[in-house]
Amino acid sequence: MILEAHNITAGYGSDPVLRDVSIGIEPGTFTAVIGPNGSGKTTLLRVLLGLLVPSSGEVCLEGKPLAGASRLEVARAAALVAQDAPPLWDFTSLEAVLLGRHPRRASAWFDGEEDIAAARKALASVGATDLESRRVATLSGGQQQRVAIAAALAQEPRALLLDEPTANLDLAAQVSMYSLVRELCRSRGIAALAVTHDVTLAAMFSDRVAVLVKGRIVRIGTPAEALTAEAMTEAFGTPIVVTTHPVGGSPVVLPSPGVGR
Amino acid sequence: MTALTRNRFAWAIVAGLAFAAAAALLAPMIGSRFIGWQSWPGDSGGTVEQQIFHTLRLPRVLLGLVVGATLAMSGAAMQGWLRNPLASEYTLGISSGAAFVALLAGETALASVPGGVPVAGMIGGLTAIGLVWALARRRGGLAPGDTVLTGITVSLLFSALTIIALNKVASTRAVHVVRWLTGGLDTAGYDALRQCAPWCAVSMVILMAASRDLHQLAAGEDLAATRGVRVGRAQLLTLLGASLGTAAAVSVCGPIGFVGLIVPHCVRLLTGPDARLALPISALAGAGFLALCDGAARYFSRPEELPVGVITATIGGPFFLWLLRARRN
Repeated sequence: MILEAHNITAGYGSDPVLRDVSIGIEPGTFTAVIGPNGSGKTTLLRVLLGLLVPSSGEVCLEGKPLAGASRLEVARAAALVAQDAPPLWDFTSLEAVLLGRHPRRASAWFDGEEDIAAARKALASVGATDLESRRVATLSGGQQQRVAIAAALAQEPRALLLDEPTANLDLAAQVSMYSLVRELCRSRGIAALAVTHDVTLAAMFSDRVAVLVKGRIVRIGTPAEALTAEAMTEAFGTPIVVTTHPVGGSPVVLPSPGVGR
Repeated sequence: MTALTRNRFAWAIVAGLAFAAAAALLAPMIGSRFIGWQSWPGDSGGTVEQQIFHTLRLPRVLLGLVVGATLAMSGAAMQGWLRNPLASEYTLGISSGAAFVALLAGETALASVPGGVPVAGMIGGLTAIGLVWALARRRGGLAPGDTVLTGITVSLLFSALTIIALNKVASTRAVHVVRWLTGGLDTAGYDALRQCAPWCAVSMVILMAASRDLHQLAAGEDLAATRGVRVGRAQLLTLLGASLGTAAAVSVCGPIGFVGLIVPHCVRLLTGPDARLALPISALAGAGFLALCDGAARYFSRPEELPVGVITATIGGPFFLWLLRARRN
């Protein structure tokens, strides 16, 4: 396990957002955490990255308590692809990716040759080499998301955590985003965890799905195990049918029209 | 190539230094009377030109360089910290807070304590920004829009208090105080420089140290933290650095507008958004800009003087508007 949460209870006020949550992510596997809005998905990411200290339970980074690690140590192990980060309009793609070199830079101040090489390699691995000197403001949503992933890869992390990576992307960009993440898991042994409410897409590409409802993980397993009609209906509070994708056979989760409450 | 390599940084600093140095050489010549460089050597006991140069122009140009650098660098830091293009010492209340408390201090026994007024100004500036921070803070940090709105409100509040205080000031002093409140470098020679320069230097050192983390904060607090930045410390350093220098400068020169707002914007158009570069270059550009504007303030209505704030606004404002449009097209 690269990152592991044990019996986490966490929140922002007296009312916990996460209750007794345990989840771990392993090298080379892609885990999706799905659930309705407000179920605690983003809070789970923040706890796993040490941005929010749980009120009880423990997060471990490669077996050691996260609480004892410095920000830099965490930064070298785990990277975030955020959903609501402020846009870096005036940055070029290369500059935006170089931000990810912060925990790895040899020089305290400047971007060295090796940082620039690493940033270019990261851009290449998301297929965005040609975007290097484009300003972020001129990129499409899908291109911006690729640059964001490249910035995370520039940290050379062993775990990659993504917050709603396909929000605001068109269908083609959604598919290429998830296949990119899966490919990074396979080729580099990265442990990826994406939180999303795009259940069907997550089922197509992930190895494991955890269903988070009202701060608790109610189901975890392979997509076929976790995404049953019964579990989905209960999780989302609306009648849901689950069928099988004609290509690949992953579960397809569909709301049922006309039978809602 | 937009990476901040050692080379790119060095060349940018050289260019910035060249601009500041050119301004520093040109500014002392300009005024109601032209003073060529031939008259510079010597001391204040020599010819009329030498007297003017050594007792009036030189300390004033030095003050302009120091104050301009401080205001511009602080403005750049606050805009970066809040990710808001409107952030400046004005819109965050630092200027008016400092002016109000410095005014109170100047009219009491504190005025005779060496260095007392700038320290009082800093207390005022920190109180104002502390108030803004406390009022605009919420989970996940400061909301940039709310912070500037809160800052402007706090700023107006302190301005009102300043006017109330001004009414209590003896009429013989009032002219002097009003002049100070319009902002200008025509203050008491080397003494003014001695009072604020050390604080300005401290402030710029702090901001320079924070600039690497400020660069990371462009991507937001969560991403900066996951890349290894101690966010709270970086924000506190920025706030302290920006308020200390600005407040010390305001205590001595009064509030001088536009430098902290416009210079960083112009600089970023040239350097790009990287705070590691934009902060020091803003300092150098601000230094040269204010020294030159002060020269223009001496020149345009000679033998009288205009407040330098009028010049920074009338020259800087239209230039900036033109730059903004030119960039958009």
